[in-house]
Amino acid sequence: MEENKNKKVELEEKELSVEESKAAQALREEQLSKQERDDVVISPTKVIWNNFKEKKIALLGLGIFAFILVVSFIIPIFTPSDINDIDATKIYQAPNFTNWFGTDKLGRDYFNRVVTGGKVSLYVGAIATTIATFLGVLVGSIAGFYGGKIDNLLMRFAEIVRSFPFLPLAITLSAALGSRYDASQKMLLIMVILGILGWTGLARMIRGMILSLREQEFMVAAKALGIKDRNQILRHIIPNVVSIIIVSATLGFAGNILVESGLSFLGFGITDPDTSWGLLIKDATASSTNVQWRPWLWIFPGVLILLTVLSVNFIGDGLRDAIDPRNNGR
Amino acid sequence: MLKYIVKRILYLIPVIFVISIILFALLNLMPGSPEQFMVQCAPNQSQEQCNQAREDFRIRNGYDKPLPTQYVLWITNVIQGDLGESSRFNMPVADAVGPFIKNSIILNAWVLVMSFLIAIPIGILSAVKRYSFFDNFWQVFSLLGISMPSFFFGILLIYLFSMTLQWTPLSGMITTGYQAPNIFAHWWDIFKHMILPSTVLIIGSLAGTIRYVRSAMLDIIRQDYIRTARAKGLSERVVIYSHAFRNALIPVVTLVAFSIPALFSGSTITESIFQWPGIGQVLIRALNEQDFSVVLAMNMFYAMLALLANLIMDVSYALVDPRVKLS
Repeated sequence: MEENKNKKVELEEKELSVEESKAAQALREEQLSKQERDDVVISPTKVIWNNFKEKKIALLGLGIFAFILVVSFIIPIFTPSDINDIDATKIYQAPNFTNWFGTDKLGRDYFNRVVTGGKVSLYVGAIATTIATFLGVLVGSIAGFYGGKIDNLLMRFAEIVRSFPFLPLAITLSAALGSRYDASQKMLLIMVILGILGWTGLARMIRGMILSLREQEFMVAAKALGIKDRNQILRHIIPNVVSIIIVSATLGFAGNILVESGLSFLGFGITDPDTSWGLLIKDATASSTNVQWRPWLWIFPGVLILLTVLSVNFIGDGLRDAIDPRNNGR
Repeated sequence: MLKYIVKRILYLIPVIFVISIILFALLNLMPGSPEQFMVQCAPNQSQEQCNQAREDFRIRNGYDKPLPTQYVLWITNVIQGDLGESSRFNMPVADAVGPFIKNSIILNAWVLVMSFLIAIPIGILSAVKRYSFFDNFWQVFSLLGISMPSFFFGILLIYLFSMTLQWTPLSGMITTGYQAPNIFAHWWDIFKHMILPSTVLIIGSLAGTIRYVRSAMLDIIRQDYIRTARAKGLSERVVIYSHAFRNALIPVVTLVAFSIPALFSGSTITESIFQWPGIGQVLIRALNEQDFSVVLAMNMFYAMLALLANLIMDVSYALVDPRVKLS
């Protein structure tokens, strides 16, 4: 079909005058490029992106999350004011044009505080996820690659950590260790706690994948070529499981933001003078007067936690489906 | 089967010891010392007398000994059923915590039953009508449920239904000062207090359960025997509800066991918002007041609950599914 068309174009071209032939040539080029496009092998990343684009809800999540990032990190550059600026004449003002999110008990601009708290929540979630992902990949690949006793020991250990109810242990750890540290160290502590409690699921998945990958021919070839264990894992195995790692990290990020805000809400997470969405809600709801008559104090951070976590979950869910379409919506 | 169960229980024993050692070591990092809470100084006592009383207390309870010795003392007592003494309640831990555990069970049992009753039919219908509007709606809904911070949702419900509309009580478990004339009135009162916290918890656990049931059902629908059932000319209703659903129940039953520890630990935040007098509240208060024995006992309780649920899950899986090999 395509070839016939091209021939036809060529035939027509001869008969046409100079100006017209230019137009025809453009048409031909267009058709050629179309042909080329059909021949191109699409890369796996492109396939995933194409699948991802189909999911409207995932794109919506991407949009919302991008918006939140812009508001958190770019808008503060243009409105430089200290989050601790106190204004005694503007205590507890409802949202208005100068103070978009109203003001708090010291007359501080609440928009500013919410944005700052959001940055902390995002940082803590991101770093905790990085720690958990790193540990998960490390333990999972070692267990899966070496098998035997090492595998047994590591997986038993993972099982113990996994079987522990997450929240009570996180609270207890934070309370037991937290008193020795000041506020900024405590933020680090929370990241580490979330990280060391959150790696087990990924480790199990990676291990399972590697157990099946190990038997495939390309791994046998890699071994036969005498490639070092470390390079076998890093260069040949990890690239095959990278999509799983990304999905797990995305969903883990959403979960960690939620847990951090819960810990801070209970008073076992981020503490003054730092702030985070969970801590803002804790402070706002300490008195029932604020809950009832100054709802902006807790609604804004609450809605923002929900929107952030929801959008990240939309992205993660969309990615999971895009990577493995057979798994659709499971 | 019995051999398998015994083996699993034997395997649990070292795990429990490891967990108890880790917890014990960890909690010794907690600030404060028990004698400062346990021995209150009377105003007419001199500082010296008071310190002496505290020192006596330390020696009596073995707090002066090195940590490993303390651990051995503690674990021997625990095995004999003595969990130590709560410094806040001034009574044995088991007696202090008991009523709170009961309150948590009341709340969580209701949540567990309701969330499964709601989630199972929705999950099945979602799998049967895959990609329909119904399916998509509940997929998005379950993501919303997973993403909703329970404390924010709880406060929102209190704001709407307790403060603005005044339909439900604000917090707690029973109306203070209310003398129920009979047992029904008493439970009705508790139920009214339970509506909001259980809504928060049900929405939270519904999300995961719907997805789980749906995916279990999708797995089953793909099986050959379902095709056979359809080929025999059975009606769709029989195929779904009699052939497919019964088999999908296997993973769902095990999920029940798995949900129990998750619910107990997850309800910590919800209990604290609604001031439901449950174990989550006890843990938080004990941590804030450095009630060492209670914190330790609560954490051991959570760990045992989780291990027990794991055991039940494996055993029930083997019981209901003959394909599972025990080795």
